Amino acid sequence: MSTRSHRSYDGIRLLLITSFLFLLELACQMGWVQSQVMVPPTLMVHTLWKLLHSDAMVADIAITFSEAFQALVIAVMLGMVLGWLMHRWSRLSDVLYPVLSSWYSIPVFALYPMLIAFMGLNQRPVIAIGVLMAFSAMALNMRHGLQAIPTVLNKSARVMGVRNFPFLLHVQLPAILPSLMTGFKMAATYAFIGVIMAEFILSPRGLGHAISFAYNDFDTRSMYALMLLIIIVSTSVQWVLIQIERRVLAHRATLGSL
Amino acid sequence: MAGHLSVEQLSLTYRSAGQAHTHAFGPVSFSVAPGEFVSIVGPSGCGKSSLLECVAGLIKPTKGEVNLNGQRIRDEVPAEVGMVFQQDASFPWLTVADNIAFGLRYGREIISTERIRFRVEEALEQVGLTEFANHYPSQLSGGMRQRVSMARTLVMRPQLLLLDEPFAALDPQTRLLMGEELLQLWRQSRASVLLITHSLEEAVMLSDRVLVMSARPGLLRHELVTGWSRDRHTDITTHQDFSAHVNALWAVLREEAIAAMRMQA
Repeated sequence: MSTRSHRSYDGIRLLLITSFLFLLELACQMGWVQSQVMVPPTLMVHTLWKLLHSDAMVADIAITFSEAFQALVIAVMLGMVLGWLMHRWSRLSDVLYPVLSSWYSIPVFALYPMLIAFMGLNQRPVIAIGVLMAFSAMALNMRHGLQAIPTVLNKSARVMGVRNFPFLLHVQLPAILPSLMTGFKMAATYAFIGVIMAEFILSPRGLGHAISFAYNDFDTRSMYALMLLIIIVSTSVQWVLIQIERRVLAHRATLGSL
Repeated sequence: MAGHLSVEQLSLTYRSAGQAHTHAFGPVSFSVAPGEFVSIVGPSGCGKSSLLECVAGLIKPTKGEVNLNGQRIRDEVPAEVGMVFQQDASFPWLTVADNIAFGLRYGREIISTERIRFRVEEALEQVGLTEFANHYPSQLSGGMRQRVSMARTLVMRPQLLLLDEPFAALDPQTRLLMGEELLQLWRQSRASVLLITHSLEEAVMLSDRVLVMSARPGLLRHELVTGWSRDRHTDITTHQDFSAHVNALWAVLREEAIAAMRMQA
């Protein structure tokens, strides 16, 4: 894997995306696609720019971010604790692992009415959906990270008299960092998706609701502009996380991750 | 009396989930005198590594006891014991220097930063890694990584050095070089060494005494005193007694190796 080949792939990828956008623009401008079905990318950007100047929209965006962030924090903590417990007690792992690894076959959104019944029509069910979507990726990666620590590292640490808290801090934590980063990236995506979908279905506020509102209102321009916003946000978040990961794990030979 | 190991009637029977008891080794009794270099050879699966881990205090033996300088080793590894493993045990997230400093920083004793730096520099020099102090393990060869493990162990100034096939994963030439270095480090450190190896030549070349273990359950079958002087080098392989020693060991080990193969089949 040389840096050079990385760069040339980056170039090809950029070329593909720009040519796709150009074709889309062309198709819309030439009237090959109806303006009710698809709007040209330039118009999406323009509409988005205007939307970002409206206070109501900024409030919606702020709500979504705050919900996604809360869901992520809870999911990461819950996932780490659960992953650790599963590593510690193999019985628990035997019971939970099959459930968690097939977790995404459970239609979490079907639980939404129940969550509303329990929690009320507010932000909580939305956050709960985000948590339900995100925590299992974190738990599985946490468990995997702990299981994958080579026994020889544990033994060496014991021989050197490194135990208890220093062991946790200076052996286990750095050893599972790659898995934690993988889990975190997945959890961030799932929490964001979960929150937006939940808002889409039934919330009176937030980005998801704004898209659903635009859709029901035949406001194709706003709908696409907001979808563009979501794509930009989630890609940027992933990009930032990958950059952090590269920097943190620069010198590792891969210890393996899910 | 520093580094005097005595192992008495030690045996291990373990049980893995849902299986019958496995009698790994024992009872075995032997001792290592202060500053002595002893090797244990034996067929695959005879419980050599488990024996070494029992001696270190990493595994609790079923019966018998291990004493170091008259102190019984129970379920904690004493500060006087150092151990190097076959697998790469360097922490990939730390530089060579930080790897070597690891036990001094987070281990049993509290040592000043100044002293740690001094001892790490000393250890780096001993294993010839001074230039690579700021490299990461992923940037080093297998032989150099084993040197890091060796330096990390020696920096703790152990009285008893336990080596679990430390060169097994290396190519033959690197292996010979590492053997040479090990002899030099052994002379400098004055530690007692207990080495486990598959290679009879390696055992004869390095040791004062070689113990042969039987197929599982491992028992001590034979003892060979090489009679080499303390300042020996790897060119001891040209000594007139060398082949005779290797052949004598093979004569005993051959039977056990065949028995071990039958057991695995």
